[in-house]
Amino acid sequence: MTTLTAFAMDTYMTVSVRGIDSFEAAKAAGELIEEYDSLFSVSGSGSDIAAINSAAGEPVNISSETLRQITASIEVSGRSGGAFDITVEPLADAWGFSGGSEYRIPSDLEISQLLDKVDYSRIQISGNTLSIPDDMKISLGATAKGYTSDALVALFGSYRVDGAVISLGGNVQTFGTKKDGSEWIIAIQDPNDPERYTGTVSVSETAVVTSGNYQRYFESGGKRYGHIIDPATGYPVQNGLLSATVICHSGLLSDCLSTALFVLGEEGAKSYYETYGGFDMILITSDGRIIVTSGIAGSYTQEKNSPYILEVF
Amino acid sequence: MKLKTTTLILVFSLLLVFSTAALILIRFSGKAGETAQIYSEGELLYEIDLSAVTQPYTIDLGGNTVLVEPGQISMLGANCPDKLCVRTGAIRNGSYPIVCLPNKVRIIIVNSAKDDIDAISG
Repeated sequence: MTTLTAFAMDTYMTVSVRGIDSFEAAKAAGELIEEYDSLFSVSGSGSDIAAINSAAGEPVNISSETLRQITASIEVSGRSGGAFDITVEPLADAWGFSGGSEYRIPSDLEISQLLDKVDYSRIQISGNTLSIPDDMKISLGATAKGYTSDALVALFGSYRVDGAVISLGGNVQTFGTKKDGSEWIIAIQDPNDPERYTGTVSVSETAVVTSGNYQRYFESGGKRYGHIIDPATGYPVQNGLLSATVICHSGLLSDCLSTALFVLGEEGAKSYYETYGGFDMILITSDGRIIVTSGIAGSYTQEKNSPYILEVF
Repeated sequence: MKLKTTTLILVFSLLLVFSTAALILIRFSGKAGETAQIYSEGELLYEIDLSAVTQPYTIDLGGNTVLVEPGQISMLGANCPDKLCVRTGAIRNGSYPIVCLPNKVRIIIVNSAKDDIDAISG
């Protein structure tokens, strides 16, 4: 078994690989992570996103890797009625959740002005070129880790690797099987006590991605401000959900969806699930419930003494 | 193994200088053992598999110096007035942490082999 650890994409990553080629595969994984870290970053000379955001409305040639993420994002944006929107970046930046800026509470006026710059439908794609209006900005913060874990799984397919578990800052994706052939056991973090977990799911090859405002936040005046901004209001999401976990074969889709469902809230997430399906989800609510969809209810094991009431949807 | 340990220190030192660049580290891990985590101001700076340590080495955190030895970890020195962290001595398991409050440094040991969990989503 070879384990790779990396500090990249603003997070801490571990990739454990098992198989004859485990070292070579882990080495290749490290190189891929390094390449993607600069390609998908919001800044730096090698970044597609920096090029788009500084193009002043002009079309920019972008990599197929970036294009795939933006295309998937726009689809989830449309399906979620804009609850997921990669153009929310100017607001994330104003709150201090983008890169190096300081945490702060923007004024209502500033927020309403910045909301004018949020609109995924104004992203223009033509072939390999993309343009956004001069005053808009995008970020791949909600897709890059999911895209990268998909790419790592594809990469391991070309090596003699029997099993791998990828954790990119809590975005989990599995490849192959465990040594004894059994399923992977993935714990779901307790948003109220990140040192604990609410339960585990046993899964085969899949992605398990969680979004919640407990992951990154700041406190001011006794109030907590989380890093996921609602593109409709410009304020951190506060809708009764503590976290939304998505379990599906695609890391990229799981990454987009976990954010989208978290922003949509319990009712919105349930209706999205009923309308589109193709994934399973686990929602944890601030009133102490954990809602698990029927597709994985049989693989979910609640932790003993869990403070949450289990509901199957 | 000596070379690997040196590389590890070098790579981690680089992290402190070029904190924006990606940092990649690969290690063979046999059976997962006790893992020490060193946090500064709440941020995880180092994760060390203590069962894989064969030669003692030190890590300079600026205000604190950490001593990593096979199977255990301790605070060798600190520039704080009370030296409580140094007096804690070496820790080998997760029963208590080493904390330097003035410098906001925390060392904990997590048992990476705990339960049968392969990863945590969160």
